[in-house]
Parts: sequence; C-alpha cells; structure tokens
Amino acid sequence: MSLLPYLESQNILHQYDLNSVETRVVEKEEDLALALKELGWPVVMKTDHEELIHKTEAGGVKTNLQTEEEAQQAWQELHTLHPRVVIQKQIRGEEIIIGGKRDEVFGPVLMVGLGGVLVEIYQDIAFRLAPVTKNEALAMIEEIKGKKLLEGFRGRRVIDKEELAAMIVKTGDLLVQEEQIQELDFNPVIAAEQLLICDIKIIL
Amino acid sequence: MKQFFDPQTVAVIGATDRPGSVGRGLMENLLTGDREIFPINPDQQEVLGLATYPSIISVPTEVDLAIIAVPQPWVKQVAKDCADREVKGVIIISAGFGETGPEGKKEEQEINDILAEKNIPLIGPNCLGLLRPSTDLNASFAPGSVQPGGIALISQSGALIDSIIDGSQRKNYGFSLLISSGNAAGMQLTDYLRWAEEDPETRVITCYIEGLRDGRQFFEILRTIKKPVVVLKPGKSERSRRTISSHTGSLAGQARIFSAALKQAGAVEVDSIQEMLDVSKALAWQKGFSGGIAIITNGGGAGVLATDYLQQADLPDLDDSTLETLAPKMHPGYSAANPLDIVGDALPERYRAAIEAVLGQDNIQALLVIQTLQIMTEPQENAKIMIEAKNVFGKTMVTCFMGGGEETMAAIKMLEQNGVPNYQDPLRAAQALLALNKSKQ
Repeated sequence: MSLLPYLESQNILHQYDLNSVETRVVEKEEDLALALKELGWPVVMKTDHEELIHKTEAGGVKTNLQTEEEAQQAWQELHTLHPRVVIQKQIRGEEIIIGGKRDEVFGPVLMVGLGGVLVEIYQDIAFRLAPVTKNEALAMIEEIKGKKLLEGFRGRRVIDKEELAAMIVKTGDLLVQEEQIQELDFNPVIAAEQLLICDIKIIL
Repeated sequence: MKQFFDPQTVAVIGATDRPGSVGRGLMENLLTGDREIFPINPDQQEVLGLATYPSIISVPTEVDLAIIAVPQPWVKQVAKDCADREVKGVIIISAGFGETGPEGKKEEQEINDILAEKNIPLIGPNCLGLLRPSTDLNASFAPGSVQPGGIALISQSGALIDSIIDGSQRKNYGFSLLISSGNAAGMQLTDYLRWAEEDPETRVITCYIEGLRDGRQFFEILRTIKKPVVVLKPGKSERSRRTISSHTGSLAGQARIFSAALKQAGAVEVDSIQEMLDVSKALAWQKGFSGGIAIITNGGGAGVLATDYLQQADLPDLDDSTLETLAPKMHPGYSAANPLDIVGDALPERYRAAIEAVLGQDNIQALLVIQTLQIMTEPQENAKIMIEAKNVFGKTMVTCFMGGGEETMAAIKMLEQNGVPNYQDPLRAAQALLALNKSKQ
C-alpha cells in the first residue's frame, strides 16, 4: 500500500478534467522562493512522502504559513521527512470530501460528505456505486444532513451543487477506469471561485 | 422453472419413515400435493405406504425433480445417478459442504459441475428446499405450508423460512414461492431474482441476504428488476475492517455500501423480520405511488403518532374546496387539517364522507385510515366503506385498525381479504406506506 506522489495524482485528475488547487512540488531549496512568489500568501506545505498515509499526525502538514520565515522553517522540517515538499495556496471555505474505494464485493464505490477533520466523527456522508449519473450525484448531495452548510447558511458561500455533482460524476468515472486505484480521498474539496480539490490521497 | 414450480414426478433420495428425520419430513410435505412421488431407499421396502426404489436409476418414468437428502459422503454418487437419468432439476438438502470449509466447497462445486454438464439446475446444498403453494408443492422439510399469494421469499437462512411459515399460519397474506438458497453451489440469488421477475404470480420479491459473492452482478440485476424488491440484511453491527487508511476506506463499511447499493437499485431495505413481512404484504397488494399522503383518524393520539412516523413523506394540506365539502358532514370539533381527526364518536357515514372528500383531492395519492375502537365504533361497516373507496378511487390505501378484539379482527380480515393491508400499530402502517412511496411499480 502506497500513496501516489502528488504530481502523478494531479496528472490523473487533469485527465478527468478535475480542478485542483494551484500547487508546486519543490525538491531543492533554491526553488522554494520562486514557488512561494508565484503562489502568494498564505500557503500550506505538506510532505510528499509515499508511506506517510496520516500526514497530519506525523507532522507532515504545515498550514497557514504567512511569511517567508515561517515557510523557511516549515521547509526545513518537511524536507527532512522526504525530499519532495508540496506547496499550495491556502484557501478558506466549506470543506467537502469526495472519496472512493474499490470494494471487494461491490467494486468501485463513491462517497461524498462534509469533509475536513471532522468527517470521521459526524460521518455525514452518502454512498453510491460508481459510475453515477448527474442526477444520482445530485441525490447524494441531498442526502448530506448538513447540506445547509453548502446552501449559504448564515452568510456562508453558496456552493454550486451542479458543479459539485459534476465533480462527483468525474471522480466516479476516474475510479471506474483507473483500476489500479484502491482508494482515493479528495479531502478537502473547497469552494472558492470554483470548486478546488485541495488535497489528493490516492492509494494504489 | 416448471420442474421446480410444478413437477409432475418427484424422486426423494433418502426417503424414510423414521420419525423425526428430514427424509420423512420431505415425504410428508410432498404427499400433501397431487403428484407422483418416488421414494428412493435401498434399505426399506416402503415409505409411508409407497413402494421404494433402490436408486433413481430404477425409477420407471422420467423424473422432473430429484430431492437429495442422503448423508454427505453419498451425495456425489447420487448426483451422478441424477445426471445419468437426466432428471430436470435437483435440490440438495444435505449439509456438510461449503459451510464446513474449502474441501466441502470443492465437493459442492464438483457436484454442480456434474449436473451442469447435463444442464440440470441445482438448488442448495445445505438448504431447506422450496415451496410453491399455488401448485401444492412443498419440496422442503419445513414444519408446514402456507397459502398462495404474491410474495416470493428467497432466503439464505432456511430456519428463517421455517419461522415465517409457522408465523404466517393465520395471516391473510400468502406466498408465490419460498426458496431456501443454501450454499448456492448452482443456482444463485440472482437466478432466483430472475425467476421471480418472470413468475406471473409474484408481485413482490423479498430477500434475506447474509452475504453476496458478486455484489456488482447482484446490483446490476436488481436494477433491471421491475417488481418491488424488499431486502433484509443482517450484519449492521459488524465493525468495518480498518485495513486501509483513507477516510473513505474507514468510513465505507460493508453495511453502508450494501444499503447504498440497494437504494441506488430501487430496492426497499428493512430492519426486521416484522417490517419485512409488513412491507411485503403492502407491496403485494397495493400499487406504489408518488405524491402526498393523507391521514384520517378517529383518535388524536394515533393521528399524531402516524404524522411523526411519516415526517419524511409529503403530507399535503387539505384544500379549501376539500374543507368546504367536509365541514357540513363533520363534528364541530374536527381538525380541518391533515391529519384529519374526525373525532372519536365517528360513525361509518362520517368515515365515508371524510375518505371521499380527501381522496377527491388531486395531490393526495395515498390514504392511511386509523380506527381506534370506541364504544360507538362499527369496525366492519367502516371496513366495507374503505374497501369500496379503494376500488372507486384507485388510490393507495393502508389501514390501522388498532387493538385486536373480535370485532376489530373480523374487520381486519375483511380489509385484508380485499387487498387493504392493515397494521395494528401506526408505526408499522407508516413503514408500509413509506415503502410503497419509494418502491418500483
């Protein structure tokens, strides 16, 4: 069991027209400054270690980095874990999870829910066997108990359900066709101007 | 399917009259039907008054169905004989195969291969058998039989069928088919789904499923089935195996995926044996609907309970024109809303006025009529009105005649014999309505 490196994961996403947040993968310290300049502040930095499945718990994720100094310190720590460091523009918004796995009885299965770190506590998620149609994807979104959080609850950003459904459909297609993938998590998917996949975990 | 649904000749291999044996149970059950039975037993001259044959080879006529209930070590040879005789179908009751381990699994596969070579379909092994009540076929060692009806029950547990047969003795619903699938070395759940789909007697397909070999195939077939399918699946409490570490991996336990697949394929999932039978009865007798539900009750409490249980459904308000029609015929204290409380002293004519007015409203497609027995209530007259209204309006109707005294039971019998499912608890009535609301058809 191993994680697919970030850039390879992102390439698969591109093939399925799935939008992910702007990212640089840096291996050499001299490339860091340019990457930070291009991305703009704040940023998130993560290790691209293939065996660290629980990156956060292993100290492999540094969020909300506001200055070059903070970024430099994060770089030092992450670079000792693994040469490759993933750097992304940090985005705020409602966090959604889209996931999938290849079930031994039912084959490819899709999941959508309210994401972030609380997903395993609230388990506010809906499942379907992949592939799914747009209407099935919309029905999945309607099954989420906390869907009001996606509908502009107390001044939050309204999430375009059609766009989210389209992303679910594409993720289902990806899962069906990329048979080498055992599990995948897009967590979080965050709604900015458009829906962006902000972290990719693909397990082969 | 005819060899399993209405065989003209049946051989019972392992027939015996030893009290308390499976072989005797099979013989007694088969003899309740009108068909030719050949008991096979090399050690006995006759069984229950019928002359035996030493083996299936010596049976003088063609055999439609062979039922094998001999000890495990002999089963393969007997199956070979059945293949040589080219019987048309085989049920293996005997246990001691796949359920015991890999060797037993291999043995049952070899047996199926022997039969498959001659295109002989196999039910079992390790099963209770099959019942087709409409042809008086009881090819099982169940403790009795059931009346014919529209429910096809397919169960991976034979003992569950035993209990359902025992529990259905004085009920008004009946079965088109009961199949105990056992280890399913030959015929699979998916084959039985197709049988039931094609069977003109079957109105609803009810499955008790412990495990699936090929969930994807099951799902794809379930999707194409046009009849309503009800599924009871145990194992919800089973902790999902956390061998893999993505969020999805840990959240997506077998039970959740199974439930999702059922919903996606349009099947109705139930949580208990009682709900399974309640829902099946409703789907066998009533057509599914989409649209609003109205509740009519002569007791406020029961009406509020039903409203709670139906909160996920659409309970439309009563239109002004409906209320105008109602007002002159109601008690001044009536609720003038949905749920429509027509007050405890309601006599049959008030029930009739309420039912007709409410069913006349276009956005109401289903009706739940509740009756609490009060001193002036006339259950049988009420039942007649409901049956009549069901036939006139052609909309879905479920009743909740609560209690269970003599008068109430007589009314319930009348309702159910006319295809109106009754439940003595509003919760059960609501479950039936919700299933009708989301079911196929």
